[in-house]
Amino acid sequence: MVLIDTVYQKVLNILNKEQRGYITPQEFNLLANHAQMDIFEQYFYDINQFERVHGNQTEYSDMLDITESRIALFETSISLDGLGRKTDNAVSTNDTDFSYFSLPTDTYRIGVISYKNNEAERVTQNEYLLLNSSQLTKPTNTRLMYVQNGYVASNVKYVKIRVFGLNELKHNDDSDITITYVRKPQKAEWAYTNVNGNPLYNVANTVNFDLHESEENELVIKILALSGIIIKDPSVYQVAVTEENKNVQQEKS
Amino acid sequence: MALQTLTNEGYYRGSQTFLGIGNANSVSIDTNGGVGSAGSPSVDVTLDNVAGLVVGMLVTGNGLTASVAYKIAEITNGTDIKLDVAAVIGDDVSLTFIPITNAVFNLTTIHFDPLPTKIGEFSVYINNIIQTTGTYTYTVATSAVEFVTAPAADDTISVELGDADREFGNYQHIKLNDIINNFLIAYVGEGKVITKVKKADVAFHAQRAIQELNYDTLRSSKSQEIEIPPSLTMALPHDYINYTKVCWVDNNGLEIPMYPTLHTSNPKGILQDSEYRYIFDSQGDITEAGTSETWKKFKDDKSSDKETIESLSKSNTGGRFGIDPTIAQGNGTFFIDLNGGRIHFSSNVSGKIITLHYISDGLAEDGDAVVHKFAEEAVYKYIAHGILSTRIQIPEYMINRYKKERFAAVRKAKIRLSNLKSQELAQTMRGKSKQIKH
Repeated sequence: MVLIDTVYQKVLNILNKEQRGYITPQEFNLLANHAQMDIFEQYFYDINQFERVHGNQTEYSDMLDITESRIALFETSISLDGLGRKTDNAVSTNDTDFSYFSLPTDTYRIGVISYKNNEAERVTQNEYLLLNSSQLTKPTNTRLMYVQNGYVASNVKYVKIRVFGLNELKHNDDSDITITYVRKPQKAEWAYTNVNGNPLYNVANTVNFDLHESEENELVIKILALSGIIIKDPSVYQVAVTEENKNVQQEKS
Repeated sequence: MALQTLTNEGYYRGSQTFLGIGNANSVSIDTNGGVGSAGSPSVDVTLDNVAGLVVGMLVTGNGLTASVAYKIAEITNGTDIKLDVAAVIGDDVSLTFIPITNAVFNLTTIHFDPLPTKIGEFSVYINNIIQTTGTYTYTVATSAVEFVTAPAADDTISVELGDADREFGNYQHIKLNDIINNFLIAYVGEGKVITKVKKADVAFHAQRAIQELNYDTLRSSKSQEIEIPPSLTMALPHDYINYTKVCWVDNNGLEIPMYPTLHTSNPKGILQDSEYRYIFDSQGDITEAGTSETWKKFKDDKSSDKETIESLSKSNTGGRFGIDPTIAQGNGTFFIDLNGGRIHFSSNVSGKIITLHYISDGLAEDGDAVVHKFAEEAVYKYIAHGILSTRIQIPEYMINRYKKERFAAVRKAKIRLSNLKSQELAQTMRGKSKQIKH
C-alpha cells in the first residue's frame, strides 16, 4: 500500500518549485487513478516480457518474481456465491436452467477456475462445441472446461461462466467451484474537507493506493508527467518522462 | 514423496477401521411437557433443566476477541427445540443429546481410492458383525458413513469394500489424468519445449497414445469365456478391437487353440423369386435373408475338420507332401463376420466352452484409463511428438528428435512388457540341444 498523501505532497512540492503551478485535489485524484491503473496494467505485459528472458536465481532480484509478487497483492480466491443464474442473469435454483455463474464484480482478470481441485480450462463457445463432439476431447469431471460471457444489467457489467464437466455444472455444484482472480485496485482518493476555501486532508475518508510500496516513486513520476500537461509546463512533463524512461531501461534491459 | 497413496489396510483389506466413542460429550435433559400423540407426532420439544447442554458450535464475529474460542454455552430452561423428524415424547422424559459427530465416520482417500460412490459398494461391520444398510447412511459429497445410533465406546467399526471393487496390483499402472498433469508440469511452459497447449490437446494425444500402445505394446488382458450356443456364434465383445487367441477349453482346463478359416464366410443372402429375380420390399430395397446359405451349410457340416484329420490319420502312410498347415489341424475353425459383429465357429466345437482373448484400446470403460508404468515414458514422448508435429513453426529437428525419442521409448516399453525373465528363458533353451526328429 502506498500512502496517497505522501504522493500528493511530493507531487505538489516538485510542481511548486519555482512557482510552476498547482493541481487541485480533484485533479490529483483523477491523475492518481489513471497512474495507478497504468502501472497495474503494465504488470501483465511485464510478466509476458520477463517470461521470455532468462531469469536469475537470486532471492530478491528476479524480475519475474518481483512482478508476480506485486500482482499477488491483488489475487483473491473464493467459492462462487451459491447462486446459479439463467440467461437473463436472474437467480435460479432450477436444475433445468442453464447454469451461468456470475463472477465477483471486482474481477479484473480470471486466473484459475476449479471444481473439486480440478482446473477448468477456458474455451470459446465454438471450441467447446468442437471439443465436446469428440469422445477423446470432451470434458470430464477431472478435465473441465468453462465458457465465459459478458452480461450488462442495470448498467453493471457482469462476467458469467458456464462450467462443463461430464455434465454441465448446476447451481448446487457451485460451492465446489473455486475461482482465483486478480481484483481491480481500489479507487484511490485523497479525501479532504473544505476549510475556509482550503482543502484540509481527511485521513478517515482517504483511500490509499493499492499498489506495492515500491511503486511510490513510479506513481509520483507518472502523476507529475500528467500534471505537467495540466499546468501546461512541458519541462515538468519532459523531466518526468525522462525519469520514467530511465527506470524502464534500468529494469528491463 | 511416496507414490503409494493407500495404507496397507486400504490395499490388502480395502477397509478403514474406526473406534466408536459412544455417548462421549453427551448430556441428558428432561422434557417439559409432552409432545405429539399417537397418530399425530410433533417436532417441537420443550426442554427442562438444560444446564450443562453445551452446543458444540463456535461463535465468531465483530466484537469478539479472536484469540478466545466463543461457543454457545447452554440453552436456558423452557427453550424449544425442533427435531428433524416428528416424534411422540411424554412429559418429563429424559432425552440424551449425543454430538452428531459421534455417529459420523468419514472415509478417506488413503484407505479408498477412489472413494465409494454409493452405499452398496461397501459393507459395514461393528465388532465383526455385518450391519444392515438401514442402520447407516452414506453421504457421497462428504464421504461420511453416519449411523442411526452412535456405536458404543470402543466398538470397532470397519468399512470394507466388496471384492469386485478391489483394485489389487494397481500400483503397476498410472492413471491417464496423472499422465496429463505430469506432462503439463514437465513439458509445458516458458523455456520448455512446448510453451503453451490446451489440456484437451494433451488429453487427445495421451488417449491416442494409449490406444496405439494397446494395439501392439501393452499386454492384452482382455478375455471372455462362453459356452458356445447351438447357433455356433459369439457376439464380439463390446470393446473388441481385434483378437489375439480363440480357443476352446478341454476337460482339464487347458486351452486348445482354434485357427481362422479363409475358406468360408457369411455373405448377405439376397432373396430371389422362382425366376431368380431379386425380391424388393415396398420401399424398393433389396430383401435379404436372415442367414446366408454359406453359413447354414458350414454350420450344418458334420464332416468337421477333426473328423477329416482323424480319417486322414488312419491312412497316414508314407509322406504327406503338399499339405496345407493352416487346415491341417482338428481343433476347429472360426471366422469373424465383421459386418454382423459375430464370431462363427465350426460345428465340431458345438457345446464347448470357448475363450476369446482380444485387444481393446484401453479407453472403452468408464473411469480413468490406465497405462502400465513400463510404458509411461512412451506416452509422454508420444504426446510431445504428437503436439510438436501438428504445430507450425516448430523446427524440423525438434520434431525429428521427439520422433526418435518416441520410437525408442515405445521399443523400450515393448521389451520391458514382453516379460522376458532370464530363468524362464534358460528353461526354454534347455531343450535346444535336443535332436530334432523327423
